Amino acid sequence: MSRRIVAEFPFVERFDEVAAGLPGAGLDWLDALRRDSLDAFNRVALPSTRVEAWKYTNLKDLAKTPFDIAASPEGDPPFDLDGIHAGGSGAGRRLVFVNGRFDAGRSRTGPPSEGLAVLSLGEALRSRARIVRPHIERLSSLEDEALLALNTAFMMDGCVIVAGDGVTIDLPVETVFVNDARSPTSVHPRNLVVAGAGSRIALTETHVGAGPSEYWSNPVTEIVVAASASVVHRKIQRESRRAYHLANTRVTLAERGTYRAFLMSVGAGLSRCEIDATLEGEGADCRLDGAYLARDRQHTDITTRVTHAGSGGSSRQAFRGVLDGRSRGVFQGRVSVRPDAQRTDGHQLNKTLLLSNDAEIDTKPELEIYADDVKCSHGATAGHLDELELLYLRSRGLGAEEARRVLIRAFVAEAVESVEDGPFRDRLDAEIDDWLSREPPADAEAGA
Amino acid sequence: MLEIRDLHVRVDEREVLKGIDLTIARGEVHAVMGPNGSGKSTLAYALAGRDGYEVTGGTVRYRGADLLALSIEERAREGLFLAFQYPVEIPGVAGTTFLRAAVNARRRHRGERELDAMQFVKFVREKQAELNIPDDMLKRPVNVGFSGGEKKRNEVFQMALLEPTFAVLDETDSGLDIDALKMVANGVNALREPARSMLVITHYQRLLDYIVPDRVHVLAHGRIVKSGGRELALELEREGYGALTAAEAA
Repeated sequence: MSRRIVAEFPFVERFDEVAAGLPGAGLDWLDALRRDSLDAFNRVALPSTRVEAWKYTNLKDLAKTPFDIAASPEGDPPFDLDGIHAGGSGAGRRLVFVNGRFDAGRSRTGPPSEGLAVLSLGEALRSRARIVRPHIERLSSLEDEALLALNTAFMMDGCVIVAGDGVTIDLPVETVFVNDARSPTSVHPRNLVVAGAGSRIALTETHVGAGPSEYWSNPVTEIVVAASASVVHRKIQRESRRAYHLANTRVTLAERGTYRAFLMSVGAGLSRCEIDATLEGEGADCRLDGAYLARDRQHTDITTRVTHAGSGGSSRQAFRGVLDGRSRGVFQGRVSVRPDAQRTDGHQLNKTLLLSNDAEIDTKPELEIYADDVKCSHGATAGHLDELELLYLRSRGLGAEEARRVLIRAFVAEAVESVEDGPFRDRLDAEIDDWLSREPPADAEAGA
Repeated sequence: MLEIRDLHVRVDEREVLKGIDLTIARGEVHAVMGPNGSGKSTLAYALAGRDGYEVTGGTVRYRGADLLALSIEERAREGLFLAFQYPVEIPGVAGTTFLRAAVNARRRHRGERELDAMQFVKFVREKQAELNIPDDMLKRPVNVGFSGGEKKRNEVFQMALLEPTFAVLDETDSGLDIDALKMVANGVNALREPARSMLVITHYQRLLDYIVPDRVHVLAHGRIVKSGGRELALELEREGYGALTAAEAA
């Protein structure tokens, strides 16, 4: 078996035609970058499960699907977009993208504000290319990663936030990515967040999908955290069950920069959310938390790479998952500590609740430590609902189903507890309740 | 109230109860005493309906109906209450949330209106004082980080809230110092009434100084080997289980 999967996607074959309609078409530097990235993708190709980082997530079904590029939506997307807001009054800035295209009518980019730009990538490429270009070029040249290269070759609209030094955004910027797929199509949203020194930014990403067809969402989000800046980044992945969601988030932190992420992965047939954070400066602080809920044959993969390059940095990761049916979860967490990163403090924890005997979790912590004055730990657990806890609840009159839900809810709640923003936590709670309410009765599962 | 006839229970392929006969009338408090491994907790779990406690023979009539035909929660809603020897810690579930769900499950079953959060706080308030249950204990996750005494008080507190018809107290005295024991016993005694029966399971007669039973039964090797009045407990205290269990084995 090869390390690569060669795929012939119609949209890749039609690159010239497709690229002419993408944001920034006609900008020489971007046209060249797209073409170089296409070459890189064709050279590297999709990874097979022979590649260690992809051992548990198989892209062969994706590779067999004749994906084209997503078309403009026909009519209104089948969603109540007002129901999706990052919290508070829903009065903050909101950018909506439908099938990879910025939907100005449903968006609120807010009044212009000193030192702050919140806009679509298409607009940023027109009016702020000088700021955007170095970041996009730098990230794209970093490594031979097929999905990143493909995103760069076909990058579609996304959200750009540029905050000047010391700027604070009070309400989180909401970004909503809506997919309405009538035939096998792909979207490649590209987001960029640049947080100037001492600035404070929060953004929320929501990915939703519908439509009769499978589709593939391949978003890339680059986040640059300058000295003493703080970025809070929350994401809810609730794609249609026919979707492939393969997301890459790349974060760099300068000295004393902080990055807090919360990821809830509940949708898609196959999803992989990769978060790569590099703590470049001294005393940077990175916290990655999340929850994954899957059932039936869903596959959900969370892969994190935290690199401590500067000294005195700290990182914390805590992910909890609930797997039912024949679903499969993957948690791969790598923490690398470079030789200069003394006094690093890194912790990682993954806990999974398995609701059926056919569900599976593959959890793989990796610590690579090249400095000597370091505190690092990792832990992983996987287990079933506790028989005594169920007995205790039922012996007080709670029905078997209710007892089960109470315990599942409690297990996930511990992951959600770290979220300080009340309104967003309410959204997470609603997602969990929604997931639980769709749970099939226990007696439908043999041997339960 | 409760009529156990020739009850055989198997746990992990091993027959633990080998034919129990026990009748507890309305309003009576019976004590079951016995050495470790005699089957006391098995009897408690079998009555509660725990999975893996397989009834291989015999019957249990509860208020005239077949108790063994009911699920765990149906038994609870019908007024059976088990105070656990080892109350279970439930991380992530706040005490009040749990108690309200329990109280409302019982109320629904009786056709009564459910209590909302405000009504529940009022309902709980009076019972809290009696058993010295501070608000903080109700906000914390169920039993998590509770001391031994707090856990046992919490069991009796739940019993007070759920107002059972038949309560099984499984070694409610174990691990308690004398002050905690008195508090728990007072809580239990306050719940004694003509319409409520209790089965008090204990290893030591000490508890029975405070919760005075109508009848005492000695359980050994899965059978009741002797029954008597209150004085039987005192006899056991003096002579130990040795004589009785040896007599049984002989």
